[in-house]
Amino acid sequence: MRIVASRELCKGHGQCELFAPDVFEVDDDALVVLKTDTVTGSAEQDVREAISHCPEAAIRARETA
Amino acid sequence: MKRSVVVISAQAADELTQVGPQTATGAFLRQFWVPFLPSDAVAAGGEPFPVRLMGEDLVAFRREDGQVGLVDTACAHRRAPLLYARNEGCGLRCVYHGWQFDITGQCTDMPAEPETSRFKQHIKIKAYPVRERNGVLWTFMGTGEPPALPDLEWNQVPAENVHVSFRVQDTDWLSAYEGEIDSAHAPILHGRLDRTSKRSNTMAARTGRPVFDIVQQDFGVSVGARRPIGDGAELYWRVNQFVLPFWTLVPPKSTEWAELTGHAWVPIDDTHTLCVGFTYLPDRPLKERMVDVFVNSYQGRETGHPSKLAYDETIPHNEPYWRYISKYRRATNFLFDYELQRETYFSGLPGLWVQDSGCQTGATFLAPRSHEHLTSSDAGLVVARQTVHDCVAAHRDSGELPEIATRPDLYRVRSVAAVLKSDESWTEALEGFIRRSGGAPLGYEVP
Repeated sequence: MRIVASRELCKGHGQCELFAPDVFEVDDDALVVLKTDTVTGSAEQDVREAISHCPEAAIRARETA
Repeated sequence: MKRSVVVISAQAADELTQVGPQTATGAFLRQFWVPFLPSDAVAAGGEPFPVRLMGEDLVAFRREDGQVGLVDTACAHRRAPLLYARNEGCGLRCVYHGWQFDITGQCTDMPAEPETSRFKQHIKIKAYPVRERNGVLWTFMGTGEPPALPDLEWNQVPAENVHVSFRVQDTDWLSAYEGEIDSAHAPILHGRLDRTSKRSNTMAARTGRPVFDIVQQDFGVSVGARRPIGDGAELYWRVNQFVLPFWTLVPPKSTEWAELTGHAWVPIDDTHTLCVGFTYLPDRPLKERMVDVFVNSYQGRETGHPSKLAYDETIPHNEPYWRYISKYRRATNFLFDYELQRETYFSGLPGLWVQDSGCQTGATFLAPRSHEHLTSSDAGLVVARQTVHDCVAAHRDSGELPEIATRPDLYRVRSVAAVLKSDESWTEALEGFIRRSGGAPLGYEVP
């Protein structure tokens, strides 16, 4: 799974960090930072949770083979 | 200094009354400090107070530490009224979901959000800087770094030298300030039939029809009115000042009533004005009796300031400036009394400021300026209108501001009343008294 996050759309709610702490982090500017842009296995479900809980629709993912 | 003056159209004048954030006049006026509340309107940790300035609804409050904030009227979350917010800690906490905002407008707490959320860092509501000087709160709603507060003498003298009042008038700001530039109305509108009042014995009331001489100044406009005394060898001069952007200064009335007076006519919105009135002696305390008359009225009649009896205590507290809305307004027919007109007051309007307010307000919402017929005694307001119009246009077209917008010292100016020989130049003879300030004595005997 490939992940894209927008710092333009992000408002620092921190939901992504809560659901997938190994993938997302909110920095001192209260904006999202990707720790990695690719995940596999059980981490993919965490990212889907993070995406569905983001109030700003600032993160997206593309399923890969 | 003197420029050619063209009477601007009624439509152009009406446009000067539009003061919202998207208007040229509003943008110009926002580049000046505005006196918007007396200090005692907001107690430390106390109830927030609803303010409306130039069409923007705001809330003023004083934190426990004494600092005053002036912020948007609605919470940034779901637009709940911050008028009901709890005044605690660094600022206002909305009672809906508990969001808290400090006096810069920054959101500092969101108790219903996950603890890890940094969302509040992105949330800031509108907030304007507030300065406090000698019992008056000032704000600056413009762009860029605000200048220092204007050197207005009434707000710099000791507290016992000055009386300040606030009241709301249902008038656009232009109609309001123009009413005070025009000194021709004073002996008429404020006249009495019984001839017992001190006012009826003032020089202005005793002498003849005024002739006007208008001079454009770096601070605004001087409106000189001369009236002949006796055989005409001497002239009685009254010089009212219009000081940009919304100040008027009125000369002393007599030796006994040597106070300097004036107003800020602060636009609340396009059709309401906050009238900030001041009466002061630069170099000594006001007489106790005078302050008593201002505060308690005189034999039940209003004087130069709204008395504590003048305010309407039934106004709901979510009405902007509710505490300063008087019983004397269009909705109450200004408590006009026809019997009073037959016996006591020329106007039948019960008291000095009520007379001004009644005439400035009365029919203006029905009759636009195209229905006006200006005359020789309106020369001052014509030049003042032109001056404001030119300033607004210059600011709109090139961002240019008059010097006074960044020169607090240009506010060191007074109105003057004097008797001069008929061949004397009033501008030369009175310049020293006009530019006198900083608590210095008047320097002349008031005629």
